[in-house]
Amino acid sequence: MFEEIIAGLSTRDDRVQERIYIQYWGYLMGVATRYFKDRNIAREVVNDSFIKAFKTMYDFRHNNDIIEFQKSFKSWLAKITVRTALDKLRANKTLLNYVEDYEEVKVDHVEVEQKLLVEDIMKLFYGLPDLHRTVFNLYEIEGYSHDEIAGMLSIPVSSSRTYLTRAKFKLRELYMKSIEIN
Amino acid sequence: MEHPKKELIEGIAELFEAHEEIYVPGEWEAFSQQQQRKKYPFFAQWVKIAAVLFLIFSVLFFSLSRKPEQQENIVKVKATPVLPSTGQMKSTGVTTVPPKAAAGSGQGVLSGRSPADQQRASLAPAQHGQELVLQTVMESLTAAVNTPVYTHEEVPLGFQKKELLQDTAAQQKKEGLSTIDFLIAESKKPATEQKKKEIGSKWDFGVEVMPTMTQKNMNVGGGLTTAYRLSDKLAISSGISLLQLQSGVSVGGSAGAMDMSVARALSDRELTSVNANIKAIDIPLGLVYKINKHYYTSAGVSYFNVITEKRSNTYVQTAQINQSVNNALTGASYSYKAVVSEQVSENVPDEPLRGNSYLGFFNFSVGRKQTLFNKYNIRIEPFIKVPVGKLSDQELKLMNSGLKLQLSF
Repeated sequence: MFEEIIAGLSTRDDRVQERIYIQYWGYLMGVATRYFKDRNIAREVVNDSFIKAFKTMYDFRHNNDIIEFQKSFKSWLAKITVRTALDKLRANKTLLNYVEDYEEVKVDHVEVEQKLLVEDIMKLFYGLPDLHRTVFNLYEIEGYSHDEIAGMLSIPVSSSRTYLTRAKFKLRELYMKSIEIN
Repeated sequence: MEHPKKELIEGIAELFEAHEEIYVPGEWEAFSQQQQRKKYPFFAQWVKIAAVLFLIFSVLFFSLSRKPEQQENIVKVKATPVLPSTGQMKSTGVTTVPPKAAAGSGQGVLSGRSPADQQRASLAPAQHGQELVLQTVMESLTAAVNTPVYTHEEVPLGFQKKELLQDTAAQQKKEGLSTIDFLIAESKKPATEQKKKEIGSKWDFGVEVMPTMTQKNMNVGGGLTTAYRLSDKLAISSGISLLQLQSGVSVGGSAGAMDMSVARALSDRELTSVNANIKAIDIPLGLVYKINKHYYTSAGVSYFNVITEKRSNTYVQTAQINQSVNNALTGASYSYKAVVSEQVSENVPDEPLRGNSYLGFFNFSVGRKQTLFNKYNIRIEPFIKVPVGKLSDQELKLMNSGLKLQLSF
């Protein structure tokens, strides 16, 4: 599969777009749904990401190394999706919705005793304010630094740290509550 | 199997790093269809418009191809000369007098008498034979309209003179009739000549100036126009003009400006609006329908090529400052923190529209035409331009309306 993709990119064959779309759609939807609860918006973000990727992917350097290509190409697509998601958040003015009445509950450490399920964690995610969730995604999952996050979201570095801390506390709190309910 | 204990955040991070959804069949087909629609927006509508235009043009073409024959016929009919009508000449009392009577009466017979008296005088002496002669003379006179017959041998000099006078009067009458007919014919000519003139000049050329307004900004454009008349009611218009468009869009909730939270107050910058100044070439193509002598309406599209683009972002910068106040009475000083905000505009190097061509705008207008000196036309035409396709996707609001002022000749 990846050999065909590399060959298609080298020859600038448009038919490789379908293969790439089908191959990476699931992964990019996983990225987008972490930022947006609404699946239609997440789907739009994924499609916009593919449009951007298809414009420049033929110049993607791979050196014919399949394993290296797999990692780097996937990472490249994920970055495009994250930036597209942030653009969408800015356009929807969602990032500016700051939660005034935030009750800070400090829950430092929670150990997970059972296997985490994506659906359950997504429910916890959507319980966070948009800004907190975004900072958490960018720092903990995407691996950006606070300086980079501050630049991307046009917020101070200190705010990025604050939001991350609050996001973690909130997730732990929601997780504890969900365990108690169950 | 016991699940190894992990910290929640660590577990969440590991979970999502590897997480992928299952591909839903049909997603690629939906995506590629969407791409096709974006490539050819309003494709179905374009096909319908093209079909309607094709029908209109074909009907006009066939109707116009028949018209010149009719006009030629009219011209041919008009060109035939009008023959003067022949009418009966009235008897003016010109008679031939038999030699005896003429000799008897002498030359002075006609000198002071009216033609009727002369006729009675000539008839009195010779009744029977003379009546016959008179009849034949009258018949010959009525029959020969164009060629008066002079019998100099029979008619004395006085009679000849009178005959000449009366003949010239008859000729003048004939000429008068033909003059009347000629004038009638001439008066009808200018109409056909005017028609020919109108048929000859189907093209209109002109210059225009168009002040226009986007959502917040005033703009101006100008250029050349041309139109081709398809019929009395329909015409195709086109042209080329240089447009300047300024547009902007606000970013961020304006209502929340007063409800600034602590976090926002501490933040350095907040993007409030994006502005752009575009210069572009606009080439419209439209159909003009003439409602009556003065008013017309037009609809069409225009091709839009962006030549230059300048964008700028406006930020609200906030900063916390320490201020101190000295109380003059007590000498005590108080310090307090204040948040100062100022608006800053920065140019943006991005030029996403520059150098690109778009199809472009839908144009609608209604106008009034006023003829000046029978040569020039002044047009005042309020219009609206609605962006379509990629231009409508832009975050900038490029829909604009204004007034076209045209001078055509």
